[in-house]
Amino acid sequence: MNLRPDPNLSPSSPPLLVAERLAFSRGARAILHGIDLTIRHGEIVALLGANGAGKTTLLRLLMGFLKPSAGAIRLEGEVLSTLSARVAARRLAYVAQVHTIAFPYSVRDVVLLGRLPQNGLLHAPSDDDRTLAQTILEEIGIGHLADRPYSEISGGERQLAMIARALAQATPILVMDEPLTGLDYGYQIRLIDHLERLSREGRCLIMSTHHPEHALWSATRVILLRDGRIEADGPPEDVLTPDAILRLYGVDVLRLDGPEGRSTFLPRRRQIRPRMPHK
Amino acid sequence: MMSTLSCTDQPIRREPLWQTPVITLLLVITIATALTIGRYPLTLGDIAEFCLAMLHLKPMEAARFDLLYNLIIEIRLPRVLAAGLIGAALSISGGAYQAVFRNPLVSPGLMGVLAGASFGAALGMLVASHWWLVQVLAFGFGLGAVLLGVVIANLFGSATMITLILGGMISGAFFTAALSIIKYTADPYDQLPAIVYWLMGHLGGIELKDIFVLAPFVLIGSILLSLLGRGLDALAMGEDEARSLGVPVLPLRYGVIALATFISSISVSFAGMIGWIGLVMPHFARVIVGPGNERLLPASAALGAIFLIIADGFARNLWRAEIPVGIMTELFGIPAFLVVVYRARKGWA
Repeated sequence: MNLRPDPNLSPSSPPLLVAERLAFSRGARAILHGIDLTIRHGEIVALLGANGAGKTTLLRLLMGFLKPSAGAIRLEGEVLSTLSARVAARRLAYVAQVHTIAFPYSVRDVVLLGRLPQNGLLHAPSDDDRTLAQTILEEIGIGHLADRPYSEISGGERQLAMIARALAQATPILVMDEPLTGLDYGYQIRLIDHLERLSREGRCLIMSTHHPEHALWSATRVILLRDGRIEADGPPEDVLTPDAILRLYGVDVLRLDGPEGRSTFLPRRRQIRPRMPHK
Repeated sequence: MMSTLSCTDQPIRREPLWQTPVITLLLVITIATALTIGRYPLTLGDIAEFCLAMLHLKPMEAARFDLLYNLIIEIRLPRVLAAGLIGAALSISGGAYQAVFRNPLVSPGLMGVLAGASFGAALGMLVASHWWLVQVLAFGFGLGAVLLGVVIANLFGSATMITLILGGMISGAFFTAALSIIKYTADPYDQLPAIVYWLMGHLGGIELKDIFVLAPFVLIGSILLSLLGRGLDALAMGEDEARSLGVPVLPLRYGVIALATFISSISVSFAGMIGWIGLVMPHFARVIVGPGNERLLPASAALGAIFLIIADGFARNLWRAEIPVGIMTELFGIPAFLVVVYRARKGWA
């Protein structure tokens, strides 16, 4: 059973996901325009932008949940909108922002749903699937929650369960909308570690985040989204400058470069300047 | 990633299921017991003896055989089977609706099927002299009301969960108003009591030949719904999640609504308005077998059958005259609903 994407794929392999001149508008309001993206194996792409910049919309477009008003998305060379839901689900997995379920499914059952695209609607998960689900839960640090009802665990734990479910899909691409939000500090750092491990296996991760530090620590590539456009796209240490943070959030920061190649931002005292005016 | 593989050398197996045999046994006991009660009481021994005689395994005196044949096969069995099938249909369609709308407090009437069927039946009693026409109109308007709700939902732009509920509410309100018009214009001495009685729900008029119509639809519908159970589990995670799991959300949603509407509509056309089963029984099933729809839906059907057979047993025998079974399900349903709300409230936080 091949559950992992091929680890031998190098960054020089053909691109996994390509978006060309992507645009999306709701009524007369343009939300995204002129988005060009090429995403390859092993990349961890962090999407940063102020509230309302279009991060979630872009992720939902990449998933095929929304139809672009212009442009196209190609997944391993094939146009996303022509793929069946099940075929797409074997290549793309998705973690939404924290949500609730009305019925008391166990965490294990939620994770096992990740095997649905492989098994099809009519086949029950196999014993191998169960073993895989348990392994993923242990790796992500919530093995002890496997038998608890999803509706009764905390928001952060639910987020982790949803990530585990997406991992169970064993797709080459994992799209996550703010996966770190709502997790306690320990889970955040451990999840960042885990994401790095996944990318070393050749998986591609695309996630939005509100914390520039998270992007600095986990991403191999950062995309800054502002007013529905890509403002910058490149390695985190190049893109995430104090100047960029100021333009994006209107916050004045110092960047401190520490040991082990890690950096952090320190907001200066007395932030009185307003956010940079839009356009 | 595999490097941190921990205590999972043993494959994780699913636990053995005790629920299926227990529920099946309960259903058989309920049916057998229901056959014994009535104006002419029988014992379970009589039933067993008669079954053996039917199978030519044990001889039985001809006069006694004829009596039992009349009592069991011609009178009681159609009624008990009808109660079982209709209870199953209402309960499983309630469970299916709850899954599609991701809400444990939804009943089969949500999309307007009951309002439409009531209107159709009342219209039939107003204009027609044939009982079969009443049934056809009830069935047709039950489907029509849901279809109207779906059309209205699409007028709002897209058929999301919310627009479907709104569409169903509007369609239901329309047919409720139309029903009032019919009640108002109906002959108060003859037609109006018939309409009111029909709206209370009844199993009295059902004959063996009706079972042959009802059974295939309810059984096939229930099997199809249960087969879609895993897709419904994915849908319970949310629309985007279901799509990301490769589930075709819109076809699944419409398919399940169509199947649930079809079997609840056909049940209503035979038995009138029987409330609460579709709301309450899926909850009991959820407590027993868990929320996974592929097991929950068949369990709901079985429990719905058991519930209506018992309710009908009381309806037939509690009083000298028969009590409409819809009243019984309401009386039993209210305390059951309290239990349900008490349990469901945990998820409301």
